[in-house]
Amino acid sequence: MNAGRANAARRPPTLPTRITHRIELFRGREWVWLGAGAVAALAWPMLVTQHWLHITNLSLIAVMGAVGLNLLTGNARLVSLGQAAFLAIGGFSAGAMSHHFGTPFWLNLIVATLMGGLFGLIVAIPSLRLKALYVAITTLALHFGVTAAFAVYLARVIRSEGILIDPPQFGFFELYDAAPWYYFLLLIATLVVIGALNLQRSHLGRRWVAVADHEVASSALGISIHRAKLSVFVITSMLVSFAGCLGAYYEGVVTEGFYDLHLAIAYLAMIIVGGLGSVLGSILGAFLITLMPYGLDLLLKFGGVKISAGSISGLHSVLYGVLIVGFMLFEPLGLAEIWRRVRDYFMLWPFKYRPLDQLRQR
Amino acid sequence: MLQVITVLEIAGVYALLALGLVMIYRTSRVLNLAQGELAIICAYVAAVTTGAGLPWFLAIPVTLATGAIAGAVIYVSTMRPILGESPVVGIMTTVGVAILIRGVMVIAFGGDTTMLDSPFGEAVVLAGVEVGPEHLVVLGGSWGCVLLIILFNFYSSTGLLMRAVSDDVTLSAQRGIDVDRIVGIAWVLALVVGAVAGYLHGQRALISTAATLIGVNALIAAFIGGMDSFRGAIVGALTVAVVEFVTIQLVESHWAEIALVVLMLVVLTFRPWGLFGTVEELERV
Amino acid sequence: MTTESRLEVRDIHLSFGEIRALQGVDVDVPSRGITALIGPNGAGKTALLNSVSGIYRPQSGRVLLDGEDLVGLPPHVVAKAGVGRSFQHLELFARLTVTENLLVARDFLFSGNPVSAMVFYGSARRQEMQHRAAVESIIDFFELWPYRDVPARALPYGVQKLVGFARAMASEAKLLLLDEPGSGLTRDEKEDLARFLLRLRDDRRIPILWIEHDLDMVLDLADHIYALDLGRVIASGDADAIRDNAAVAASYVG
Repeated sequence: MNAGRANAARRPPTLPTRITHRIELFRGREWVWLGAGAVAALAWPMLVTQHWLHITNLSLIAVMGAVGLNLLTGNARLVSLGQAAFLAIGGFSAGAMSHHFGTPFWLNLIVATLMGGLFGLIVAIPSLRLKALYVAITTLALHFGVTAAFAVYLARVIRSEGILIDPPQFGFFELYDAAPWYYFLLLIATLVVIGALNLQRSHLGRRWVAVADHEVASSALGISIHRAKLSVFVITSMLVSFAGCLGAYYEGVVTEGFYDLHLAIAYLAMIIVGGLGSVLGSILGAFLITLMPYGLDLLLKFGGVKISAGSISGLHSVLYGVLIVGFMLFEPLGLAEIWRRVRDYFMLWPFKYRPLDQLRQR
Repeated sequence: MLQVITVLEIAGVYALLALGLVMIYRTSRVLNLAQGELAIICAYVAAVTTGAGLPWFLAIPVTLATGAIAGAVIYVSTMRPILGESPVVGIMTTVGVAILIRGVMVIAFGGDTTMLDSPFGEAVVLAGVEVGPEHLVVLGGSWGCVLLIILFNFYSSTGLLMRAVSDDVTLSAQRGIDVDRIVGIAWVLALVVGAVAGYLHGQRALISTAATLIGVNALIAAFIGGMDSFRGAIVGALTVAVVEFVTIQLVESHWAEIALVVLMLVVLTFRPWGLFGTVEELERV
Repeated sequence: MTTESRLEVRDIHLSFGEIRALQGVDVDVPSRGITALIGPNGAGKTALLNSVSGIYRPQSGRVLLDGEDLVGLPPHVVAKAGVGRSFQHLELFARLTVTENLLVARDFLFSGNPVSAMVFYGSARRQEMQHRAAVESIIDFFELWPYRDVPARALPYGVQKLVGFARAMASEAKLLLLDEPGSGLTRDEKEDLARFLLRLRDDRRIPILWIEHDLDMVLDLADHIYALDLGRVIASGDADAIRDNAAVAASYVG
């Protein structure tokens, strides 16, 4: 590396090589915004009604699932229609464990996560040799296989419509009310988000994108394509099943009907609307799509329109469809990109582009 | 005998849908995940038009026209703008279309389950067994259409152009083939065939939003056979129909889905390109 | 000569069905200097590089890197053995920035499990810093400063070619395979390329196997030249030998 030092003399002196600066998740003013966001998040239960707190909790669970799906579909470009299946695997593992063995919450959470990984492996192995887009079919088939299996399990073994799950116990404290759930989910969702951001800036995250962008080139650079695809599949499946387990505990019941294809597509809508490959996008999309039915309800009530429950669910489907197709056609990078543009517009005003110097340092 | 007829009926419907999927895949490299939804909405159209008193010889053209229009609209409004983009975009868009149609179905038809009346009234005795007229319609209609598609693909000039486009889009374009038109025709045809499948499905089973599952089974059929092979689609459809029928007879309908998934995973593990699919080349470097 | 060879290709045969891409090719890349491969289109130059890096598997013959046979190894193992590779067409990772593209080439030098990557503290962070520092030195070498954080798909063509070259080197390879790094470049960019090739040879002392269509450039820079045609070596030697070779002239002109 002596030659490298010889070159250093030729380097213009103003250019930065402060590497620490370049791998931080947040810098400068962003910390201020984060702090403000954290205060607002902590005060949230005091600001809203139980109903809206419940919706927030559902959104937080959706954030975890969407973050996992977005790593798989947004970063590694493997389209998964098996989201509901993996959520169901998490939920049913927890339900079955607590029903048959009466095991505690934390153990069920671990088992659910591992089961997700196992099923991820089962789908991933035959999908490895295929073109990426075929994964859509294997996961779609998995969805129907898994939900059918759980229907059989409920009918034959449980002999009921669903499995009831007791709320998690921490010592004498029972996680039951919306507010404690909120703080618990907020903590976990924050950890999941940080974990996903870290994965994206780590060599693993880069490897997934590289393999998705060009398989031959990445293998010629020393990456085992099989291992890369396996790892992304298993890790994201575990994350989604983890979220599915938390969701089941939050609902207090697991039923087969909850995990329909509609749910899988709702998650796809989240990451497409939010922004493929962006963690911020997963968060925005998860909140937006979870809120949408309630917003629609309000809107209909406000407008004095009365339609049947069936039609409302149809309306939800139509909205998902319009959002997915619309964003795919007109803004494939989603809300995250729109947000970035708006932010840049205000921050740089009256200019249009960053100063050249700042561009280099970024 | 009746069992054989049932399997052949199911297989015929799957084969039509799978052939549509293959046609679309070969020309535009898009997996159309909305195929089942489109077929069923056409079946609903048939149910509504016959319900309104339209005779079958008018209702069927209306149904097929619905399929054709749907194909043209989907191709022009969603597929053409994303031509040449990553296949991920295409597949997601068809997912969006699928859920959109499902919603329309629920709103417009209330998720009602209906069945279509057979155009013919008389039962026929076939090999000593009395066979209802609807069976003849489904059998004849589906396999007749399959034959037509094969003939079209291998003996018509448009079919030849389609095969050229599926071999090499760039070369075809350079040779003066209007690729846009050919791909558009493929979409329209595939959905007309899908409308036929939907109509025939309505002859032998209930039309409901749940019936869109036939699209999933057709995907599995096309996939087992090989996404780019007509022969594969037919063999895949027969395989899926047999497996589905046998498991339903032996156990129950839930097990059929599980069996199909296992079957698919096993086939893919040993033959990643399906039974008759061409092995797709590595990216050239 | 053989004792000092970094890469020895011995009697490689490669065919795809009826098409014989390589018919008994022998090539030596000495551990010092630039070795160039020339020849008309379809001569088998890229096929030879692909056989070395494991993308194609030759039917017979040996590929020895410092005496170890690479035939039959998958591409990622060949890369780990120390073979860096650039591609003829633009095969950058479109969504990654220049820095990240170079970091991917060092991917196999990272250690650690997914959990440590999620926590990103301690070893994972240290490794990231260390590899980024190494990549910075390559960015310096190729003078890519303005493009550090630009996604590869947004780069001008000439810069993309250069990044492809830089990426091949980023893995601390002990042999570089460059597939037409100069095609499509402007005159200025070619001058730069020549400068980098020479500095790589003289400062960093990495042996290079280099495919190039620009015969003048090859004759100026290469220490050793192999001319391929129809899957065979038709001539080899230094610039003077190639310039005067009748077979080379024939394959290029007629």
